Amino acid sequence: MERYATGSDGAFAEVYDAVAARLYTYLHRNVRDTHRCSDLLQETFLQMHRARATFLSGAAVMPWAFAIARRLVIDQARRERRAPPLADLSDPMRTNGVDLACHDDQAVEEGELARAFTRELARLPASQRTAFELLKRDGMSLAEAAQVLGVTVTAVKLRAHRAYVALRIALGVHAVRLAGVKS
Amino acid sequence: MSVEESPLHELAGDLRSRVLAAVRAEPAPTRRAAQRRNVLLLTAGAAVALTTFLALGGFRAGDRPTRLVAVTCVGWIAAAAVALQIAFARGRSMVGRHPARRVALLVGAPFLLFAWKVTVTACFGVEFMATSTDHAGYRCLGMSLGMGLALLVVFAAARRRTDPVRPGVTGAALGMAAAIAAGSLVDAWCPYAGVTHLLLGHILPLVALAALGALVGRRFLRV
Repeated sequence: MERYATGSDGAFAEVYDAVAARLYTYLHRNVRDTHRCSDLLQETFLQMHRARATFLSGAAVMPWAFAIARRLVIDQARRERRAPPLADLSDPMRTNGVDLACHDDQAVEEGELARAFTRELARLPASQRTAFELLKRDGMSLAEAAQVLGVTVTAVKLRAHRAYVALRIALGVHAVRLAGVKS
Repeated sequence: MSVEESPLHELAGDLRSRVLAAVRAEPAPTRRAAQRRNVLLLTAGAAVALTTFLALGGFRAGDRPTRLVAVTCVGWIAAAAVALQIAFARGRSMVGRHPARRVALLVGAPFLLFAWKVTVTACFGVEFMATSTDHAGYRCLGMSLGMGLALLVVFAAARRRTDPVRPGVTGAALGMAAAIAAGSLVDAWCPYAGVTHLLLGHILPLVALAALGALVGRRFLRV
């Protein structure tokens, strides 16, 4: 990005290759529609391109890209006048690749658990859910997640911890229910 | 999730070409070009504010001792310098710093500057704080808003597309910085220090321009 900011136009392809996969995964998790997700990815890169002159030497690109993408997702949700988009439960990508059509008992149970996880995650307050997802699903560091969200590292820790506790309680109960059905 | 597992794998070729084509189709200034533009903009903004100040009479001590004018002006100029530093500083991150300092500026500056002006003037003699109905403060209000607006426009242009997280707060801080910078000139021009005059002509513009800056920031500062 540094080379791109100083005028090397070809460097943007490298920026795309370095950032696009994680960014797309993030967007795909937050937007139902695949085409809309692609549009948002394109818009995110266009925003980065338009703001290339403002890029600070030595700054990290990933939190910046995520912050732009996050803002675009929020804007779109506002435009559609509905709650922030929830995960698509029918999409295998959102269940961490678990094949829900598989008839194997263990896979069915895992699929059920994954769907319950997604459902419980969607029930969390947006601030906790986002913090949790950035850390656990997007693999960001605490500092990076704090930058994306515009809060302190302590606040991210607190939000992610609350999300983790809530999920543990909810999924613990769910696991007990699943065990009962199985027996 | 690896790239192969991600939905991007399917879309990589087509989407990549589309994104890169869209980027090529839209020219964007390089850092050097933007720096040159910002220098010109800031110089023009300062020139407009100074020209307005001089056109309206420039420095006017009135009945005030020169030392009183100097002390109050130094306070306003120091506040402007701090405000500009807070509003423009981006740290080393592309998503900006924590907003605490900007919020503190927005909340504290009007109170501190009002207290500074009243306290310093009172120290030199309460007669300098006499309120006159002839000088309610509308001229100072207009002058502050006019010069502050010119500065806010160039500040926002110089800081355009730099805040993806809290552009409203940054815009408000820029508005406050612009208002304080304009206020330092108005303070050298205005010889009146009645409390109601100060509130209307010197403090209200700070709040008004900060509010306007928040709106401008949401529109222009976000990436």
